[in-house]
Amino acid sequence: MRPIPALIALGCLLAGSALAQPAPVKLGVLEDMAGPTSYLNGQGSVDAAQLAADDFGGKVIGRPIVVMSADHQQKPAVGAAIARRWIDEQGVDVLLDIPNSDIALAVDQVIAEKHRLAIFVGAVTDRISEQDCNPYAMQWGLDTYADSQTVRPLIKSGFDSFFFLTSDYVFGHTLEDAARSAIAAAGGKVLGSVTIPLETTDYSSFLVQAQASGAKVVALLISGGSRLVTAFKQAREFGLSDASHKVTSLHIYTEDVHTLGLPATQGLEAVVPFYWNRDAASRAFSERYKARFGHLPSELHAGVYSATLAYLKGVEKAGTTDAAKVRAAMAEITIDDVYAQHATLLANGRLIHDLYLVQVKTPAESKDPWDYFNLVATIPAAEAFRPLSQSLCPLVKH
Amino acid sequence: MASAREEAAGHAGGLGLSRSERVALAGLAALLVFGPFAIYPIFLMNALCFALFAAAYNLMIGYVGLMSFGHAAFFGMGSYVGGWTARYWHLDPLLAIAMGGATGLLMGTAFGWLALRRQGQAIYFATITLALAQMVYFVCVRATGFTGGEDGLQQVPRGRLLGLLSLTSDRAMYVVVAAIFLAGFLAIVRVVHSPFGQVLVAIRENEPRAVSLGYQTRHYKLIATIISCTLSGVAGAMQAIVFGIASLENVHFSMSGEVVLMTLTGGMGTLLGPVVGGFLVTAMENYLAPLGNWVNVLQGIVFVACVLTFRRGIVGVLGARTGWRL
Amino acid sequence: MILGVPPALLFSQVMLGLINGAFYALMSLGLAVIFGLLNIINFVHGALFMMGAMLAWLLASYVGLGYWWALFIAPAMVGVFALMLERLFVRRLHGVDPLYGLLLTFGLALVIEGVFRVKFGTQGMGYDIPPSLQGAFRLGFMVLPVYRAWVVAAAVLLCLLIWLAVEKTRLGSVLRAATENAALVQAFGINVPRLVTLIYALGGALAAFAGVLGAPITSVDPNMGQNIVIVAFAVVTIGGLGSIAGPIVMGFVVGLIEGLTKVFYPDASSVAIFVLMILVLLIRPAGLFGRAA
Repeated sequence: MRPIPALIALGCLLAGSALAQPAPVKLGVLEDMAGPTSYLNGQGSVDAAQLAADDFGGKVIGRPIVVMSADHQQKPAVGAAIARRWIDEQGVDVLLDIPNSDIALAVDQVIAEKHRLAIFVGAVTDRISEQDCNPYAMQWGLDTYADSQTVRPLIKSGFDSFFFLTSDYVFGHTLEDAARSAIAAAGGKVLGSVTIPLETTDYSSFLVQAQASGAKVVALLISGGSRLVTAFKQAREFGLSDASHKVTSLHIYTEDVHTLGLPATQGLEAVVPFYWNRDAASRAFSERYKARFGHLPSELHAGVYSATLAYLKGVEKAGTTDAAKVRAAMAEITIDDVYAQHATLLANGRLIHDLYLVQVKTPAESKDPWDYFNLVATIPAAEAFRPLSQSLCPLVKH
Repeated sequence: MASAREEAAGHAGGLGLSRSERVALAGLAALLVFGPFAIYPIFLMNALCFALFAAAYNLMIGYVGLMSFGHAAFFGMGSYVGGWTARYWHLDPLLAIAMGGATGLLMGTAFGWLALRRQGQAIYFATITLALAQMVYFVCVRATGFTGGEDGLQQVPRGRLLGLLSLTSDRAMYVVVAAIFLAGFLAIVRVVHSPFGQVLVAIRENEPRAVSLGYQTRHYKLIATIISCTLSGVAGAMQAIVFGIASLENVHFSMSGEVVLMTLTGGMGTLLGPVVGGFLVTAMENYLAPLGNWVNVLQGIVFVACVLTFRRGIVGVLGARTGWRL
Repeated sequence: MILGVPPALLFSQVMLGLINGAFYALMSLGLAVIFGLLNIINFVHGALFMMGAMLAWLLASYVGLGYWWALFIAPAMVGVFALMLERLFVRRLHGVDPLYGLLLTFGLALVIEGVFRVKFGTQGMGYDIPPSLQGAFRLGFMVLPVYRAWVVAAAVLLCLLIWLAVEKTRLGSVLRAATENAALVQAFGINVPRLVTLIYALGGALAAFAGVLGAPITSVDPNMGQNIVIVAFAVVTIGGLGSIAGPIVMGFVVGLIEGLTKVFYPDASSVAIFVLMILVLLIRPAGLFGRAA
């Protein structure tokens, strides 16, 4: 065949098959693909959504499932523009993950305006399900309220005065607010805080300020990833931690422990929603994920898997992709998987589920590669998250 | 370049336009009217904001030969002030956009005056504006109460035009954006073709001679800077209203680089060049977005190629080939 | 307490200011010399700084060569790279409006940084402090990490050497003469184009050296050179042209002022340099070390 008629024939064939197939259900995974948090979510989250779609059978209500992804480059305006284009031009049915709280809030505004669903996993500011809640947003992962509970065991063991290095954006600010009230409630005190521009690469001048405050705990309220790792390293350079002084972040990912090494992180405590080595089910899931994608899933990857699965179940139950109907159906189905255990989807869009208090192992305790956490306690869903009675979301009727 | 006959015919018209310019303007108007039926309106509005920004920038670099490397400061602050007044003062969208322009005017006056103090080579003007704009960037990073810092100034409402017509629909918003773009663009055309504009060109071509003819060239430079910055502020505010967000990218120095790129590719010192460049660069960023960082590499290559071999830009070359004045 | 500030904090911030000043001095020195000779604002300088740090990281992770090797190899490689840039691109702008030089080097910086972002992302790579320079001096009134002391010492030494070379050697006197009047120097039978290439390459190597010095104390990522090059422009503007001492002294002074701002008004620290520049423009438009035009 000559090339041009061949191309026309191919075009007709493709058009024909497109007509024969029902329109796909489109899942848009919006990520930080190459930035400081990309190894915690990024391509791994897109993979997790694909895994969930495949586990579901690749089809829902007779329509194929398509997973799309894009890079918001850590810029709120870029993220919001992609969300808009996805909804207007591509007809994306649900947006997933959307890490980095600042971008999440910008996207949250777009989906509220366009009446399209979004499930936030990587963004931890609790404003998504509190002040800025709307009927289309759901929050699947940890939030700043849950993170701040890490201060209780610290205060109990005598580390009761704090100094914050707060990342200067919505994540840092909401986390600091939450931590301040948790510290006050547990009888500790805050000696001071300093806000740090997001693009800081040399934290030394802030660290010496923290050192001069004499606080027993210097808390790095910097979102996980390479920025947090740098700050931890520089704290070590200036000799900030010793027997009576501690440097901690209120949340730490296994991936960051891996980069920093156990000698530098042993004994740190954190509240996590998922840890690959938690029990038989989580190990089985993680091994399966690793066999396909080459690395263990982070807690965020597991969260995206869970959120995708729940969305697809919701669509199946509702029999449509209509946002309001799917959202209603998702409140009725049982959500119980490797990530979300004893889970309930509340009216403000928050999914509550069990969380785990973990402590980083000592080098001697760690048996296998990536064996980093000791499970200290399980925090039941009802205690882990802010109770609905204290919710600031207007959708919740008190 | 344009023939003498065309020049003469040109200055007879209302705006002082040559025939080729009038044809080009008619084409532009047709594009504005029919564009939204074929192209995603949000993309068009974004491109128009940048086209106005580039056209304003061109007034300085193309017609006076002053290179600012800090124009992001005016565009970005325009978008913050426009967005802020729309959100917190609930200003009419037109007024909010005007506030953006006023911001550009004030900042342009201050920065222009300061940067023109260092006499001698034009290159100082570039580095000083770059440094001043970087200062504005850092202020914006830290002044979170006003700019929202890294979060950006979110939830900027599109509002109702003159209190009547809601701009929530993209079509309605588009009409407003197209109208403001056209008004701004025609204002620039008017300035360029005025006696004032002729003096600007004289300064670009030979400043000592302009001085010897008795012109206070610094005043002319400053006024051109102020007009340019005002319109840049308008463009920024318009973008904030369209997208409902004003963010740090708009004040970052890479935005200053982008507007130079638009003007350079389109053609410095041509009327339509920056508009073409604005559309081209916006399209590149929009449609090549899946390529991620390769877009920046590509932009850099275009930059280098333009500087080395294509300094007249698309419209400049087109004009030279056809003998039209565009 | 000194001025209501704990002495440890004051001394620490002054020390950190001097360290930043060391980087500003190395960067603006190269920029000023290149500008003097080529009449080009070398925007690509920031990208060369980044390349120095990235090469150090690459040498460590892929070749297994440590910090001390990197300190020599990375600047040499970047110097050769800068030499090629000059031969292939910068040279072609001879005789064209110097504004195009800024645009060209801006474009080159976009390409270089973009390629590194494509390859390595922006998450930032950790580069460890060499074992021989780990630890800290506990001086009683403050903690001084050994590595940071080394950075200041190395930068001061290098700046002194360059100053001596320019003031006392033959090459230095040729360079100074060519900066004044290239055509005249050419007439004396000196190969000015070759001198230009050499100086451009050396300036690039100096930026890369600063990059390697900086690698262990910041996170190494493709965007790390963007701000420092703009600060260096400001330093050159403040110092004015016409002397080698200008950018060196002003680099350290600006770093120091920035450090002090961090003690008394931390929020303004990143703006301090630019405010200083505005003040200088108001009082002495030609720059502190410059001659009036």
